[in-house]
Amino acid sequence: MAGESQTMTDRLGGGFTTLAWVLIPVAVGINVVGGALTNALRIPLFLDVIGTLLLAILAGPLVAAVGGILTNVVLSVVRSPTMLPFALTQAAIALVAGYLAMRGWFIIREKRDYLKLAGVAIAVSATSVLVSWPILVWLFGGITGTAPDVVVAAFLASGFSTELAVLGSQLVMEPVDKIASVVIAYFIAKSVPERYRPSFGQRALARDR
Amino acid sequence: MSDGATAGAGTTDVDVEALIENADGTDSLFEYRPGSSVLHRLNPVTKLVASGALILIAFLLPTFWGPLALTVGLFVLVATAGAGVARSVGTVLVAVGGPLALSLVLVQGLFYPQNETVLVSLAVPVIDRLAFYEEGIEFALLILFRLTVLMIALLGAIVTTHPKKLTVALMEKGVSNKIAYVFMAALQFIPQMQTRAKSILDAQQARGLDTSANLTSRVKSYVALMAPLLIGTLIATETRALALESRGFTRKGERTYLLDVADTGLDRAIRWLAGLALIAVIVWRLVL
Repeated sequence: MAGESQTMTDRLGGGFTTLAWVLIPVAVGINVVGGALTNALRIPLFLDVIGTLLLAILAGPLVAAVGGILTNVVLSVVRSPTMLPFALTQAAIALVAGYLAMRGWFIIREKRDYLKLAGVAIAVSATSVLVSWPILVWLFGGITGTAPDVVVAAFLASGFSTELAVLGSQLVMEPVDKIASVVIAYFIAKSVPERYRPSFGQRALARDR
Repeated sequence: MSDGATAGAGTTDVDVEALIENADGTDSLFEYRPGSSVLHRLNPVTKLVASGALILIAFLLPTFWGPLALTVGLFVLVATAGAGVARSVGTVLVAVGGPLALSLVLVQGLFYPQNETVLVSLAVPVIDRLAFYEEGIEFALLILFRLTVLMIALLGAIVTTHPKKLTVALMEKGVSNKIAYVFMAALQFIPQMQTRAKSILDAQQARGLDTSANLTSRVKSYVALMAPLLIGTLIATETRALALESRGFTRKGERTYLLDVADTGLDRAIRWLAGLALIAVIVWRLVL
């Protein structure tokens, strides 16, 4: 592979080309607009990290982290400032997914390679739960005024502490959403014509043989 | 797009500010409310620093009275900046804060783990009795008012600041022009992408996309909607990359700005005050 001779820092930070900078707002747009499309298709998921995951696949972890943080900065401007703390979750997901992309976990040549995608999905779900958990507990006391509150309430009502109730609700809600997001992001990334992929993305997806 | 703003600086007889405010305020999602209040004239960075300090203070205060006082005070301050500003902030506050308040009071009032003292007990048909507890309600109010401080402080700063002024002020304070660009571009992209997404959705529905099929095929349709959206945007992206490059986007060196953002003594005083207040609260919380 072409990237093998480069040093780690080159591969991490070298992603910040003009093309990558221009991709960031596109990814932010996809994160935000994606929510509107899930409503139109009545898919009961958030799917609000697809743009971040796309950036992670196409442009690497650091570019994706910038895009992830920016997504929630923009969301806090256009929707509600309560979204701002979850910029950390987006950044963590971006770093994990981007690192795995760098390690070739998005290169799928045969059927059993799809297990790699499952691995990415598990890693992304775990990251999301671990980072959102303290934010939800410390800043929100578990309640955000959205649908998952019902699950938290159910756990609290059955005698769990706030910490465990939030963890429980996260474990119930997050994996499905993140697995779907990873799979969707992979297929969208595959559909991007090669000439529009930054060099990181060309390595991360490699060509089908 | 960022027009000829990089071309020259300093003395023109054109009112740059009015020009920019009238140029692209409408299609941006950034809900800027023009005005000439003190809040409008403060340096954007000052507003962000003050908001940040106030939010941290609200999260450090132990009971709900402090954040409640801050919420009321901030809202009065924001309201003095004009009716439009107050309406914008109020709309988000009601739309987000309403469900949040309801959810908080219900869930924490009923199920907060430290609940002991019954505040109200309601007779309910099916389950006999529903008790709201004092501890839970107090906790709910604490979280609610902390979050309302967060919302009003940030929204107040956002709504009274034109996005261009914000980016120029940030760049003058040393933020990379690239970060400033992606922020502005993202705000401009989103409405464009929403329009594009809607026409793609219409086009696919005309080709028989079924929005009431089973979940798996709807998730597949999602890819069918997203791919053209992304690819369409990417094609425009390449042009954008070339346009930016030809304007010296990646060039290093000092830049001049057409828009002048004032940084007055009042700004510096407010920033110092915000910092000191935050430190005072931290010390107070650590000592007690």
